[in-house]
Amino acid sequence: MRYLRCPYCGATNNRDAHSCRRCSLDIHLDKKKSLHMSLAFLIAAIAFYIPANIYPILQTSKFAHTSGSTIFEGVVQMWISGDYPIALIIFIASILIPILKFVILLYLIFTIGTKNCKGIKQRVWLYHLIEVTGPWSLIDVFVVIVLVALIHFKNIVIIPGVGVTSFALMVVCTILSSSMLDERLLGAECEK
Amino acid sequence: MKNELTSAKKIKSTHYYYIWIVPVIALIVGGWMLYKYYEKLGPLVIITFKNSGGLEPKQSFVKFRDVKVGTVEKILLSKRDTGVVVYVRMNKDVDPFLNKNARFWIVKPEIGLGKIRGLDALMSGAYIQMDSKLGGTKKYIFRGYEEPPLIQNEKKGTTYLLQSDDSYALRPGAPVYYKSMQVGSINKVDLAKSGKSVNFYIFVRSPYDKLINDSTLFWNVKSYSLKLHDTGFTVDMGSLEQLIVGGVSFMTKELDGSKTKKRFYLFKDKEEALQNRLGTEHKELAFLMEFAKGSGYLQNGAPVKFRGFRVGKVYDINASLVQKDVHMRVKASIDVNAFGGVEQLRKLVQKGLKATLEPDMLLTKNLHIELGFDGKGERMQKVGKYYLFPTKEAKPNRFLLHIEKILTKLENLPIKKTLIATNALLSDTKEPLVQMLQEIKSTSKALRGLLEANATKELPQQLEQNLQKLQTTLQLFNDLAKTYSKDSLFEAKLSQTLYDIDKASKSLNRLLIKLEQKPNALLFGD
Repeated sequence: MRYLRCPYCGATNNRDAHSCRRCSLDIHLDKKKSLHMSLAFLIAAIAFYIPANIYPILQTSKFAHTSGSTIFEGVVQMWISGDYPIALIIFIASILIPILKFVILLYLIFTIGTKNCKGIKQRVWLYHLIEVTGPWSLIDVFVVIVLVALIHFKNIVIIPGVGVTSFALMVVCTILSSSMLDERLLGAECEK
Repeated sequence: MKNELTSAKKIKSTHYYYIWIVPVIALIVGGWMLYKYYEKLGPLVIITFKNSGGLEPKQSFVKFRDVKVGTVEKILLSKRDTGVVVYVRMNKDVDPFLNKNARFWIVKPEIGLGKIRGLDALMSGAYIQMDSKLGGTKKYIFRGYEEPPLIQNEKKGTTYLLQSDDSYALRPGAPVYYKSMQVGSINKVDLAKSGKSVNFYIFVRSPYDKLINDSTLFWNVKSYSLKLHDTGFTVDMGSLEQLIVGGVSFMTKELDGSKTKKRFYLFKDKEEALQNRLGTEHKELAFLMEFAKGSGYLQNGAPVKFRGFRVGKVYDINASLVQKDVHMRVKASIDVNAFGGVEQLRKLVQKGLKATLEPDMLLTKNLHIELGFDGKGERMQKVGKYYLFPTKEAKPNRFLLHIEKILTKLENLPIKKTLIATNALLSDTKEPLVQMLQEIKSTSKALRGLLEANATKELPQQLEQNLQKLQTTLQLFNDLAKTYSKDSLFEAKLSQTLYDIDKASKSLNRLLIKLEQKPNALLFGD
């Protein structure tokens, strides 16, 4: 007998069930839809990731002079000026994690699509990893929002750059992408 | 429950394909941004400077027509020579301007005495200023200028060269005025190659450059001037800017004159520029004058005058003692154009033009060189670089002699003598007077005796005769008295004296009038 776990209430349902027998929510396992949605958002995320990195995330307008720096430049500047912990956090949250997510999501979508049944346990772990770390990427956006809101000197104006908008869109897309990927699919077709 | 599960229909869902619109939009947006980024990303330009001048990578920018057209990417030390190499990422829209006309220089805030330059750089930090115009071969490697280049492609106007004997402490950036209006500025001040004069390169903005033609006179703006009038002092003071930085002013006599000159003489001040001048163009040549009887009262810088016109000046004096006299070799620069060129001057010298040492003014002993016609003409020779100018010994100053004469006359007026003479005259005439009175006395005595002698009746004729005699005597006395008042020696002498005094006072009066009109005449001559 094949069963289907309700992702909302955890009740065990029939494999072919469309709605949960306990909470009556839609629990239908649609592999195609899930993969399509996830991949679409992932590609959108990757598309947004490019302008997020080449455009300044923050523009500081000091007197008449405007200077902006991209995420990577910011990390490098912080590292040079000795703020190693912050540089590391920003680096991990804004550069490492998004790339990691792209790679992991692509890998998961690929393995589901090809019905690869190896290392299901590790893949579930990877899935949970991106689910947990995903929102942390927004720390960059948060920093910019706080700076823009707090710093209001007469001659220094901080303007959020195009980069931060792209970056926020990218993070939202990755979160959507990972949430669209139904974790039940990871081992769905591997039952013997 | 089981029934429900089995009764569920299987729906083939295809409606989720709509989700692909999200990555499509994302790709379009991302791709468009990427395109925009690379579209803006212009060529990388390499500029070498002597030093980075405070430029900061990623922050300093390049300005062209006050528009930010590029950003400094990195600054490296030059490996080849002493300097820095600045890599600048230019915007794409300035690409057509990156040609051989393009020039770059660093603008730094400069606060000097009386000038603040690049104030915007104070706020934004140093930046690179670019100047260019379209056309010319493409170029991406430049050598940066240390100072703003003289002629800027973007500014319209004309550059003129002014020459002067002194820099008058004028500095680049000082303004050029026309009727106290700033119409340009001094771009560069440097010493002429010969080391004798100073070259000023001035830039006059369009349309004011139309005001400059061959009749234009340039002079150094003095920050203040003090003038003595018969009504008192006048202190002329320019604006504060003029006071601090000075400047150059110009005036054009005829506004529709021809425009052939690009090179002008910068006069010391307005007075010198506007003073009477022979000829129009200034062209000074060096002349050598040898004076057998020189005088140390000829100063370096003393003027060379021709009939009141200043035509040159002394710039070098060599003196040596030859026996009793001081032999002087004077080098003077003379504006040959005042005489219509060198050839014309040569002809004038052949006609007898000579140089003499003459005193400047009344009370000082300072000398100047006066050119005047005297005697036979000589051939003007050339000795080395110099033209040898014939000289002649100075005649004593006529005016001074005249004054001296008057003074001596005044001093020698025979007042004392006259008085003595008058006294003597009076003492001389005393005796005849007394005698005459005595005679009258005796006559009257005799007359009385005659009357007393009772013989008078018979002697009316005699009486009459006597009376007649008395009358003539009185007449004589009268005549004598008259001669004292008129045509006497005393009278003549007195009137001569008075006449002399009158003359002297008239001369003095003239002098006083002159002094009143021009109080500094005593000090500075006419």
